[in-house]
Amino acid sequence: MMLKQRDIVIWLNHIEGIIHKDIEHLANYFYNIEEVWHADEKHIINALTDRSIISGRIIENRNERFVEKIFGSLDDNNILPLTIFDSAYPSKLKNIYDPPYVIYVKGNKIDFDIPLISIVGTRRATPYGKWAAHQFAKELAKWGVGIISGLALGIDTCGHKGALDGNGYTIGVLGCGLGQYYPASNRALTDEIFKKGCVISEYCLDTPPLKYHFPARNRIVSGLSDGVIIIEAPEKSGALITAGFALDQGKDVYALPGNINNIQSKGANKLIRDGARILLEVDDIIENLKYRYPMDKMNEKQSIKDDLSDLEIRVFNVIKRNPINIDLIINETGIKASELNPILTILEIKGYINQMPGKIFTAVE
Amino acid sequence: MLSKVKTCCLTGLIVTAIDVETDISNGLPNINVVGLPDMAIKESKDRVRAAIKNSGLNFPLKRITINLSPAHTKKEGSHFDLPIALGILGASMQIPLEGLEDTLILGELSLDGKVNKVNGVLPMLLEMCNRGIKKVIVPYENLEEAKIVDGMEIVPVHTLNDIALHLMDEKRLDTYMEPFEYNYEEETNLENFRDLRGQENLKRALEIAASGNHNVLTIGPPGSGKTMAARRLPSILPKLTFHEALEITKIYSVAGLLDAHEGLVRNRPFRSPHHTSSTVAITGGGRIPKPGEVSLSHYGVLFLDELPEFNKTSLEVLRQPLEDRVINISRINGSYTYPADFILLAAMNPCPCGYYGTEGGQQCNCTPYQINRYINKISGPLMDRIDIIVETTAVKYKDLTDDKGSESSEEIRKRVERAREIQLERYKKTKYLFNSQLDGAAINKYCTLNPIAQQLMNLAFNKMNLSARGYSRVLKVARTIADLEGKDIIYENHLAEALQYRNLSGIIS
Repeated sequence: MMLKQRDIVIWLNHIEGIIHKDIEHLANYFYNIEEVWHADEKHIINALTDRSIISGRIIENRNERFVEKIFGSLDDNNILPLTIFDSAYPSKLKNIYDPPYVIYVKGNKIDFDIPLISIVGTRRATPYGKWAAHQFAKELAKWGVGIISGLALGIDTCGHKGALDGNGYTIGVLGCGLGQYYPASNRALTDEIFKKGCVISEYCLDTPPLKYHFPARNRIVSGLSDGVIIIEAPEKSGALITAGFALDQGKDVYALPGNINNIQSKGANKLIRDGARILLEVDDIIENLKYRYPMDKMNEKQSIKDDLSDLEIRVFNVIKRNPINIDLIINETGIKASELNPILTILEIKGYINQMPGKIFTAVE
Repeated sequence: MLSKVKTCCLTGLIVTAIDVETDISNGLPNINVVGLPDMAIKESKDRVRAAIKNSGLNFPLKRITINLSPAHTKKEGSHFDLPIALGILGASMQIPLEGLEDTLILGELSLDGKVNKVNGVLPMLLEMCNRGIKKVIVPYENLEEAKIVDGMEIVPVHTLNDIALHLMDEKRLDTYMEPFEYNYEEETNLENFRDLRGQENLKRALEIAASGNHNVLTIGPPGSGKTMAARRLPSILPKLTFHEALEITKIYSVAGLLDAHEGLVRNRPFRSPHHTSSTVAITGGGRIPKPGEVSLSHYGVLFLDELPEFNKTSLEVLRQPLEDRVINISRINGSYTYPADFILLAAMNPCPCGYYGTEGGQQCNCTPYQINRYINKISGPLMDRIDIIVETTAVKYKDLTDDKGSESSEEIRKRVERAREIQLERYKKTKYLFNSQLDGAAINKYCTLNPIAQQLMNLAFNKMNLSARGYSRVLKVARTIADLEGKDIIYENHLAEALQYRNLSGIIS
């Protein structure tokens, strides 16, 4: 059996307990990583000092049955492995400090060459953060920008959903193998992304979501993208780890300003203080992407509000000033609840306003 | 000697006529009660002995056998004391029993001969009156309640001695037999919507709920006025009709919750069981089932504050009464049916800490998992029976600059009553009473949309992620809004308003 370089790294990646560093040591020790397959046992042991368990497992698993099983199960699950030796391997990822040797990709649409922006943030998102993640993702999707995120709860989920709602492209990066849905409650969303985008992971099929996988996963999120948006992050947060990677990798970092009293916005606000780009509108991002990609907005929104009645415009103007609760709209405009509710429905259906928990309405940009 | 007097007993709300037969014969002094009596009746022989003795009468030192006929039904209650005592006095020739053949006797005895109040007088009298009994002896404390029944001669008694003297014709007691006049006197200290500032949206939602008998869920942080508004819901419900008042009084009579001075229940019930209430407290139960909270809120409001804190099974048992408007309780003694037709008004916080979605001030520190678990305590089937969902926020007093004051409950009630009349007229020949009860084909039949509303509905389906379940709920609420305006078909503004009373912000999926 002739194993190519790419087959070797996929095989190595499936050795139980192996980490990125181990493969890196092997690649540095041998002139060509293909040699691992036939090399003398002592060389492998030498290459992996202090990792005798792993080297033992490599030696043990140097059989063709194991390799066939790996490729069989990848085929069965419709998973495409991309190794660093493949031309299809995303070039943006290749340029980072420690690119994964293999990434596993699953989905109907695989494209790493369009402009990609990652949207990250805390799982304990506030309604404001969720709204912002959804809104920016949707707006960026309209410009043909793909959204990358980590498929976690909170901000990540809203980012993905926003991209899908804007009929855009989105990539989810998992901290576990592609053989499972994680978190389980995002099953429907993950399936949707399989259809309209793709999900990737550097871990082989059945790897469980271990704690230390997630910071490592974040280097891929930032590595694949042209810029990273931090929507909401408390002072200690995975999103800030992503921002750190993005800085190391030379990507743009955008942070959404938040209420200074809100603990979930502290991290993002501090990033702004430390020099991240402040994110106020989607154009802030588009302007920067324009130097690298041809940018065209897909469907221009009609600008004139011809389709609103006077009363509707009055209500809309009140909402536009500030997100506002329904009872305060009644108080301010003097319109009765029975008349105001229909107006709010119309504005909502026509896409001018959004509803937030607590019957608070916000204007859509 | 043998004597025979009449009484009756209640199982649930079903009345059985009982004959108390007393036989006194020679033998060792002994007293025996037969005919499936429960503990309270078995103990009555001791109360009766003491009461007779302490009333200055003579307890016969003979062999006394008391039979409660029909002997095959189980009997319970303490109101057998007085008939048994009169039976013994009659059989021992101390009082004449002529004229007592058609008199119903109810009453519990104290050891000193005082006749105490008993439960369930109203349902017993109503039923026995229908069966042709026209005279009744009741404890004095049950007089007001007994007066409600028309065409019965009522003899209220204070003590055993009084009734003995009355029967011996030595000192006649006053009897009552006036036709009952139902005049609705509203309790003046009912809480009024006039005193509730802001929260106009919640008020409007409650007005719609009252009009169409819709169940309501309010979601909001602590201090946003959920409970304040809920307590005022009964004040805008239509005034009680005599029939309704009677039904409610029957239940309260059985439960022993009737006020001795009131007689008839005059206000719509507002029950708010605490969230630690057991399932049985909600449904009713016990060895001999008593009505629970669902029945005590019959024709009124059942308010469940902090809905997700309730025991899951306590919530799930609400499904049958919400559907059938009665509750069936089966116990070893048989199956009991109590009416349970109420508006369910539930209130909850958006998350366990209560502050999710609040701007400024307190902040929510719940994890997504905690919020999900909190919300998921309310099952889909229960949510399906709730037509109106309103969200509230705490509004600061100083933000409400409007001085024109709020509408009073009386004004709102007028609109509610009109809308209810329209519905009663429309559903005259059907099994329905109110819009909230419509199902399946009836929704399509009665909830006709005008063409523009039809278009709006299609748009809403696509843009607002309306589900099939949500669709019928919105239609029912729109029907009620149209009724409030006196319109035959549903116009676009009715539908558009109804769409706001669903869950839009995604707190509950």
